[in-house]
Amino acid sequence: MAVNMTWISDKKLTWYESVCMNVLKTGQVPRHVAFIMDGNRRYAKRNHIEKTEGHARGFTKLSETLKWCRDLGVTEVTVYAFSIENFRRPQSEIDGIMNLAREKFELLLKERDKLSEHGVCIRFIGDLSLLPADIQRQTAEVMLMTRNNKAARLNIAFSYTAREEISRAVRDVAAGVSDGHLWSSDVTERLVEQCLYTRESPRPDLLVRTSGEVRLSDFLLWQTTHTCIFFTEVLWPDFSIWHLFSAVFTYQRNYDVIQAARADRSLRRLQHSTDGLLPGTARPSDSMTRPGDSAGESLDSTDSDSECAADDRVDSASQSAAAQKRVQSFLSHLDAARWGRLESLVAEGS
Amino acid sequence: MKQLLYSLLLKLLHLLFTCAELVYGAVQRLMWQFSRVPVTPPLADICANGRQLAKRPEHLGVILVEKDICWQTLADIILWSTAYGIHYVSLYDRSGRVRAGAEQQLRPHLERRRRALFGAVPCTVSLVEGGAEPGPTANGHSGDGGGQYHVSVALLWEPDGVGDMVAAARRLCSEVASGARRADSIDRHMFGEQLRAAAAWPDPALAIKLGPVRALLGYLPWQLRLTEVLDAPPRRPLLYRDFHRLLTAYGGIQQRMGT
Repeated sequence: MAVNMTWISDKKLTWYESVCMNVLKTGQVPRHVAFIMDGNRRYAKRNHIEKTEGHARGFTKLSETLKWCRDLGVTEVTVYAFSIENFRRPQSEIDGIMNLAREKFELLLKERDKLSEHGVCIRFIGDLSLLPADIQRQTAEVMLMTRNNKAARLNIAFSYTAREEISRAVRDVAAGVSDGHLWSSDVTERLVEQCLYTRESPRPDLLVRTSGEVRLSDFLLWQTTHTCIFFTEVLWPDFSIWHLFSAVFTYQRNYDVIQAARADRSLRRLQHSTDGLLPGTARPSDSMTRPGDSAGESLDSTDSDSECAADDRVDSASQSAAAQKRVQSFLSHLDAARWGRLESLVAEGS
Repeated sequence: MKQLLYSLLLKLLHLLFTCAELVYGAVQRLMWQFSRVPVTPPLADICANGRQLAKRPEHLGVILVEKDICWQTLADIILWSTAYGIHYVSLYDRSGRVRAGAEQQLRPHLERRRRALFGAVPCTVSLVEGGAEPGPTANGHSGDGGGQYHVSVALLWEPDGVGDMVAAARRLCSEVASGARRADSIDRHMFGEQLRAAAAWPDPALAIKLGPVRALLGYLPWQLRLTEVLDAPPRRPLLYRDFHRLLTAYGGIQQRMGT
């Protein structure tokens, strides 16, 4: 089996694969698909090859799968390449995976034109500080190089766990509160979500896990609460276009129910976010009073109820606008800091 | 023209699958009707089955993703789990139907099924809403139950998932704002301890999904990290043999924990 040496595969589909793909494309197609690419080592053992070779075959399969997704019209793919927990593997295997990563990330840098041509933005998600310095630099270079590509996005979860991602997002928000950029009452689900590594991305519509395991293994726990989950027995290097078709067909069969649950949830979330900004609930940890309020004031001495309600609505709208302004300013600041870190990493290496 | 043909083909394919599912569901229900006599073995046999398992979850999750709730199935899962020595069960329905029906629906079923299975043997079931304190129990006793057979059952819904994490984030940020905590002290271990849904419980090691929908619809996302998710046979009440098969399947799963 020849090892595919490209991220952007041009392998053509057979006529019957094309027909099936065109049939599937007339229905709902997921915008964002996530993969837990499991089974490389079992594949290597079954085929009596080295583990590193098993991982290399896994990469070839990834390249093919990205092509199939592109043909289907999927605009975003997230793959679980390496977990923080994987650092507990034998050092020789970790070294093998890191060498493979070096080689493939270098290839990404060389395929700059192809990536631009297809408009592919690449983002590494995870605690990249745990990686060797040269790989950190490579990931930063790739992200900076493709940041303006808008047609499609590939998220590579490398040195990632969802719990680390969520707790880091909360820590960033808490730092914003500590620095005075945010009030604690500004903390909403939307805000935490915008601080995750996957900010700016829609939630995955479909999650595929190969190799017969039936757990999420700390992958996108926050983002996949309302995602169609497709577990399949096949080992990742043996994953075929038919498995992908089967996953998309399953997504279509579950589409209505999951969308209804998502819509229902969004409605409640909106209600919840608004509640957090009502007068009297703003800044619960700081001062609960607004200018002009005083504990000793009698409500009877104020104007009519309707005027009070109108005043409250105006106050509520202005508080909401102020909160939004704080949140936007904080997120811009956070975003600038993150890109700044990547630029420094690249500058250190040059 | 081609597009129209493709679209018709896909619709036909979906129609065929829907028909197949309906037929399968009808056959399942018929088989259930005719095989309902010898469904649940005596308590001693169930306990023996539980002891023979390669491993059993400390915390069993039950995720409802179907339109109709079968209260008898929920009561049975709780009681079979108790007999297996499982001390924590979480029942999740995203819209809160299980919470709302706990008193009027679940409790009477639990009482009836408990009498049938346990007879005079003491068995304590504590129903717990989200992360709240245990309430009155199915057999009239209160407290956590110190007897041989006892189980705590958390009644969860959507706000106990991501909503619980957001609430924890808000509390932490309030503490940071008041100077009681430093932002950089927040890490994954500490954040997990702040969650109130099924607080202080072990993470669910196994979740049984009741219903055909291929999604978890918000079940405890933080706690779900390493949970094995297994599907119950769809479109009919769960039988004891199904439950035993699921627990046996769980016993055969090996987790490599990243290694």
